[in-house]
Amino acid sequence: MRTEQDALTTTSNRLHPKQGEVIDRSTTIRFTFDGVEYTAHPGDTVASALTAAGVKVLSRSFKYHRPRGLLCCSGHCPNCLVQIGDEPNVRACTRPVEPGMEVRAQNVWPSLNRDLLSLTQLGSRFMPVGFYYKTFIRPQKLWPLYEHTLRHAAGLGEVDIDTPLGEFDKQYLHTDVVIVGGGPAGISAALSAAETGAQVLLFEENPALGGHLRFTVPLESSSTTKASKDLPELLEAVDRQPNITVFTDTSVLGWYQDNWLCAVKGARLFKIRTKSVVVATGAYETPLIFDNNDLPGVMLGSAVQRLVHLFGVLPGGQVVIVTANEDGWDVAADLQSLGVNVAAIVDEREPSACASPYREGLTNAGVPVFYRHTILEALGSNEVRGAKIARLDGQGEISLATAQSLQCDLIVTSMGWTPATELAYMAGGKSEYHEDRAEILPVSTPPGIYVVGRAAGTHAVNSQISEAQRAGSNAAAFVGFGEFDESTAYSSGVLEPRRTSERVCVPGKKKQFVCYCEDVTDEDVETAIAEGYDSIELLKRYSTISMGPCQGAMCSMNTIHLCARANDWTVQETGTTTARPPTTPVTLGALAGQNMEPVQTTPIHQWHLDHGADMMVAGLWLRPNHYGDPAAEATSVRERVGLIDVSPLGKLQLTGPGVPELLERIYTNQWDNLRVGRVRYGVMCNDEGVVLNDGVCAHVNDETWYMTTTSTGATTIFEWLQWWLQSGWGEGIHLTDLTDTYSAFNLAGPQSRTVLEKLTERNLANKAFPYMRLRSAKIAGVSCRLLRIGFTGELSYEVHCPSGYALHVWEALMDAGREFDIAPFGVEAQRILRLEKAHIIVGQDTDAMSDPLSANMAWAVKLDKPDFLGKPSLMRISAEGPKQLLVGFKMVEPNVVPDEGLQIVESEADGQLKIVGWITSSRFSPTLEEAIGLCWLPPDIASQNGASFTIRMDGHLAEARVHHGAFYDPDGERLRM
Amino acid sequence: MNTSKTPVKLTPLHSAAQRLGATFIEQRGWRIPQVYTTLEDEVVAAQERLTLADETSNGKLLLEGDQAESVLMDTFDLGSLKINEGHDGIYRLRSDLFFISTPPGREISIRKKLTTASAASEQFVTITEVTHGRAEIRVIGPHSQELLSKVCGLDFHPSAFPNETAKQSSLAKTTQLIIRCDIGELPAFSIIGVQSLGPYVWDTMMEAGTEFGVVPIGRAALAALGEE
Repeated sequence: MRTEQDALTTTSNRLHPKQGEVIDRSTTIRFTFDGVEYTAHPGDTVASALTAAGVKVLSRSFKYHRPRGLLCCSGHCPNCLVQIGDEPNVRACTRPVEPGMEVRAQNVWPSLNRDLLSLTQLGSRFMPVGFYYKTFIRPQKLWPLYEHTLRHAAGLGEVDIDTPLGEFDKQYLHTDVVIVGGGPAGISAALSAAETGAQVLLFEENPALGGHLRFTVPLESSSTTKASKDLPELLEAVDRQPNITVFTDTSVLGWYQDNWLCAVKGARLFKIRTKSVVVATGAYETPLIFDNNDLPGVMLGSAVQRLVHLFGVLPGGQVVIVTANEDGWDVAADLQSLGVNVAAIVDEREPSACASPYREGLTNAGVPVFYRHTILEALGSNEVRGAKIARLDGQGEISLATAQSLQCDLIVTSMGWTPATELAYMAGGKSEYHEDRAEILPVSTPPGIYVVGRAAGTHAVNSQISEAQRAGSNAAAFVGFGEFDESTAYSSGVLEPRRTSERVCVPGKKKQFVCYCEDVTDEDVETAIAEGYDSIELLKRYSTISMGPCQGAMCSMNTIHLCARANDWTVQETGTTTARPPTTPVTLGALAGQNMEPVQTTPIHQWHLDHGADMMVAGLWLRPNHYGDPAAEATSVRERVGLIDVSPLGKLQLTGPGVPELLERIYTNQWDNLRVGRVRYGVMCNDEGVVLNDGVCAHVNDETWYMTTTSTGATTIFEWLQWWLQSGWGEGIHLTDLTDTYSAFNLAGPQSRTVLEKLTERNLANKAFPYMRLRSAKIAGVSCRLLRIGFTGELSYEVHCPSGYALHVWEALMDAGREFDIAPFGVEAQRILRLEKAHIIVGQDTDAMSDPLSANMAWAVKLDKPDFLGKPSLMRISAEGPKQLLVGFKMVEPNVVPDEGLQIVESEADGQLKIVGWITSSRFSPTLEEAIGLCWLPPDIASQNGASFTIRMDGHLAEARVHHGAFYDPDGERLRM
Repeated sequence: MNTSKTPVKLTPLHSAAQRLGATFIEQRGWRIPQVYTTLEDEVVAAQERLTLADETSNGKLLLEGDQAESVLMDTFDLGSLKINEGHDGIYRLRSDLFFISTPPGREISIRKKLTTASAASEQFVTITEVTHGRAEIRVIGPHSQELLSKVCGLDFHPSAFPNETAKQSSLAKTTQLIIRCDIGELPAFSIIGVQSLGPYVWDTMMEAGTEFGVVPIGRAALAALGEE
């Protein structure tokens, strides 16, 4: 750790306080970077604080592990990615410092300053672009080793899988106009749109509105003078305008169909529906390609201005500025006014082409100016120590004989801009290359999409403002607020020349990086094109240029130029790559949002928990699996009485004269003869005759039927029925889902009648209320529907009561059953009980191929009915005979319970085992004291009661025998008692 | 017959209310939260921040049929409603489906009226009471729209979702009927969905509303705010 004194000395790169800076110098906070303690002020970013402390190397590059330092200082390049705590790939230039923050370099071994993985550079000739597609292919068995090694050598950051889930959420926003970008153009467009009465959302990726005016110099002679003076006024106007909602620190990630935008602010994802969009996203400053152009100390002009004006940090003391337009002179004047030693201005233009208002002042101040020169190389090993420059001849070629070195610790390039127009192109905008500006600019956009400011190629601030005002008005007019200003299209056309050269690459012999994210050099680009990847889209995919964290912000323009040059095409002919979301990196957590997993619980849920239920998930439902001993629960039902919560059962009410006909169509058995008060079991099939669902349906009164479905199939069957009703079968039928209106409990066991009689005046005698009947009754004072049915195989009553009374009725039943040792039973006991009766569970014993004839339910299929869903298929199956049959089985060794899903096999002549069937259900029956189950078998085996077959178990074979009919009470006498 | 206990109706949010420390009253057979903290605090929270209230005890009826509108018009002094529009607790969800919200207990008399009118008209109209099947969560407070915008994709601005409007939508990945029912100038919405999802929806909205200082309020605060 550094000492107190050490830490204090790290503030040497701070400038004197100045207006507009965002740091609070009255307070000092501490943080660490790779274990060394540093100080910062509130408002500092990690990168500004480290730069203030003189730290230049912040990261190592992706492939060659070259040292990297601040380049763009705006969150658009990969050079300052660090690990903070368990969060990888944090952009140090935009992440505010927090007290105690632990920042680490990532992708280094053993340390940032001595990264041995940088030795990979020595073998770079063996690792050209796309090498990973060609090498490490053979021998195939070594691929895991290669993969392991490569994954350690490359990559960014470390993901700790033990990191607790983050707090993420999302929010939907709706508005008339969205303005993306809060610079002078964006603000002006927002104000203009809002004045019409339109609701405006203004998104800015930086912590404050203002765009480049926050860090450019408001000198009187500057082209930005008027707007700079007007920035506070613009901000005040935004504050006063109630129709504008501002979102700072918010990146708009993408545009989707019908103006559906996606944005992220920290851990929150916004999904935005708007009617019109103004893209005022500004421009990325384009790096220059020359030898060692990635050396720490090589920075973009706008990055230096951000550091100086927002954070009061000077990244170097001796500066060489390389430019080809007036922007570089602006930076030079800016630095010189702060007392920085501007070692030289290297301008590739002729003196006559320079129209900077600062030219005279800088020259008179003795700043050396090298006209018609450019930079050849950044000198230094881990950071800039000098710059090698050379003169350009009449044809613009470099005259190496004129090369000379300049001493400096900071090289600032200011060569041109890449308009940030991704959103406009995602929305369907078209682009065109402008030779005079060396910029690709939008020439058309879909209706309702407007591009303004630097994104549209307009750099003069006053022009930006007037153009944006018109665009804002038109965006509002497009929505129906105010009138269109026909004097403008998408852009004002104020395209003042900013750049006089198309130079993006200076010939050299050392590494020159086009893509900082993926360590792709100019040589790599040429190699890829020589290999045939000459189209810009192919080049992108092969080289991975623009596919890293910067998403093309730093490299796309230069790549297009290089591609054009290598192919001898124009830039326009070369074209651009397709813009896709996200425009900036986003965490998966933000995309996932709040953890919303709907869970359905019954009104008795808390009672179950209070009584020790082990809950299980069934569809969306939470149900008691058991209360400790499922076998005992099953025995309680067989010998006394038990109570199970079956509230998740689907409960559908059908009313109207058309219901009988519908039932005939959707069930495989007969329904038009079901009398009022009766209940019948039915099976539903789809067109292919595959079993969809099963359950009982009761005829409640003349025009009302009450259908139950499986718990997990309730929603599906409701929607399926709705589909049929709306497709021509709905005449005279109304369908209502009462699944949640009624809760249901099954009171089962030989004592169930006695228990229920304690709670009702209804005559429950077998004759008055026989098996498969429906009755209305007051149970414990609550009007209920009683269905006498029996999935468990015992005398049982299904009590359906209004859900608000559910706990009252449940507790009344438990109280009434106490003298009979009633016990609640869960799903597991129910499964044992039903298996003892050989009742199937749709979805467990059947699958997407199972028909009812094969599933031992031929008794529930009436092929002589006029028609029903699945009939043609079942007719065919009936004629041809099933290929498999679902039957019961008992194990020869009664204590061996085969797992569900195990294969049933047969020995072939060659000794090989052939799969002939599978187990669908199996349990040890506490009633029969032996293992039983259901399985699918070929008909020749399944049709023979007692036939033997073999189950392949874990490591051995086990014998079982076919069992026809129910295992328990095969005649159903206990149901009817 | 042993029916010693008087039947009492519990809402699906009863356990959640217990955990949140509610005191309860019984109203029209329902046991409902009366107060969670203090009446004053809950009223202030509703007026200044964000609150959730369990209003499951409100009566809920569905009226289905091509002639449902004429039956309604015969029964009540009601003009024609467009889909999603509502008046006096009656909301049109489809051309042939209406949802009727009533104060607790009043659904019985309204159902009788409608049944009588339906029988007299000899039209095929089905009236179904779904009070027990639907949880109703009332969102009240200036931050209501912001909370709902975190869990539902609808536009809740008054211009897009005026008072007495009902829309069916996905909310927190569940199907819900959302009704705007402001209390005077105070924005308020009813979230109505199957009761089995009620606890999940309640918990999800309580979590989403944390940043707005959401608190639960009881019947007393609702009454103080002017709700019946």
